[in-house]
Amino acid sequence: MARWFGVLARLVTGVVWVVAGALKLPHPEESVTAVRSYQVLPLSLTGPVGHVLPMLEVVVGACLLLGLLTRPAAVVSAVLQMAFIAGIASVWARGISIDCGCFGGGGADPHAIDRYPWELARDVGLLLLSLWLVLRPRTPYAVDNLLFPASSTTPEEDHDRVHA
Amino acid sequence: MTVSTPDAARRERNRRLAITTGILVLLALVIATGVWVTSGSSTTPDPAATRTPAAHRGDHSLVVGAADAPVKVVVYEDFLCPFCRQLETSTRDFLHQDAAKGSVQVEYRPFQLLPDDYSRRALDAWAAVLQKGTPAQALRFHDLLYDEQPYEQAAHKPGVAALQALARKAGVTDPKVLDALGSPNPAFFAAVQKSAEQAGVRGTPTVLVDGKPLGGSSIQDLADRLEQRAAG
Repeated sequence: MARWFGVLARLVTGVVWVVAGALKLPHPEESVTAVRSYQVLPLSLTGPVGHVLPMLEVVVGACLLLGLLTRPAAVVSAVLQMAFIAGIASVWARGISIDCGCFGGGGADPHAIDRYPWELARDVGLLLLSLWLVLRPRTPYAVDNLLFPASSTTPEEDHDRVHA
Repeated sequence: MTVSTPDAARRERNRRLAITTGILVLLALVIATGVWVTSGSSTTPDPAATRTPAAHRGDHSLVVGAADAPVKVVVYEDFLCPFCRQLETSTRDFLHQDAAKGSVQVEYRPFQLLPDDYSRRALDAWAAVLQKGTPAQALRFHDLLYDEQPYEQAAHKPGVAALQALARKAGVTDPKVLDALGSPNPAFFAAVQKSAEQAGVRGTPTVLVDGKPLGGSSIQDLADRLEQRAAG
């Protein structure tokens, strides 16, 4: 049962990442604006982060969907979600109203503060799903199962699986 | 359950490590390629690769493109305003291209809107390059001021030395111009503030197309509309 929940967690987080990244891919300048609008990172980092983030999101999402290197992908996913949660909490605390740029767009937006609670809740949910996969990366229908087949797992892991 | 000898277990660990490393390298390559492909068209264009349109000094402004261009665009902007930076980065490429083709003329009219010392400092610095340097340097400096725009809420914004370094990057070598960068220019300031007031500018960026203000639901929307109008 827990392993099927893992598949669900992979699908939810994976789809969100792929969509969020793909929407930003065509507009790298917009992505940089979104990163800048948080006014957190050193300016020299905003360009590289804005350009790399969309592609990183797509790749992490694809890994989660495929079940490819699930645990490392889930670690990256969790770290990114924590960064986004910290970012939104930080602009909220400073009273800066910006489009979070989560799914493209970004920049100042006077009505954005109203959306922060919902955005934080969503990111906490995605963080929890990512953490679940960090703890239990073995799920059915995953490429990992082909690359690292069960028959050749170490005895400890086999033991784990019997009780999963 | 398979019975693993220590040797077999080590071999298995090595195999897994090799597969994992291989995939990670592959994924890193995918990300790098993706970043390279998507950034190619929209990062700051290589000045040698894109045609730089002819620019000349206007009335306390910088005019880019020919006077007989069918579409006339005027941009009122503040060097510290984040919206202006957003407009700049999403319109610069096509405005410069259209100006080089002769289909549009753009007049940049920076002034001070935001009550911040940096806004005035950047304006004074740009005025020095505009009045004492060349129009090409003023255009490049204008673009760099937006590329390197500080955060609006930053406690320490670039000072005169940083602005001079930026001007050097824009091609300014004349020590007289670089010296003038750091001095207030009250006459220029008064003229640009008056011009913005007379034009009824209440916020930045304000974009006029053939004398009429161009609106938009967002900066991206404004940029899209401007691109349509500039295309003719």
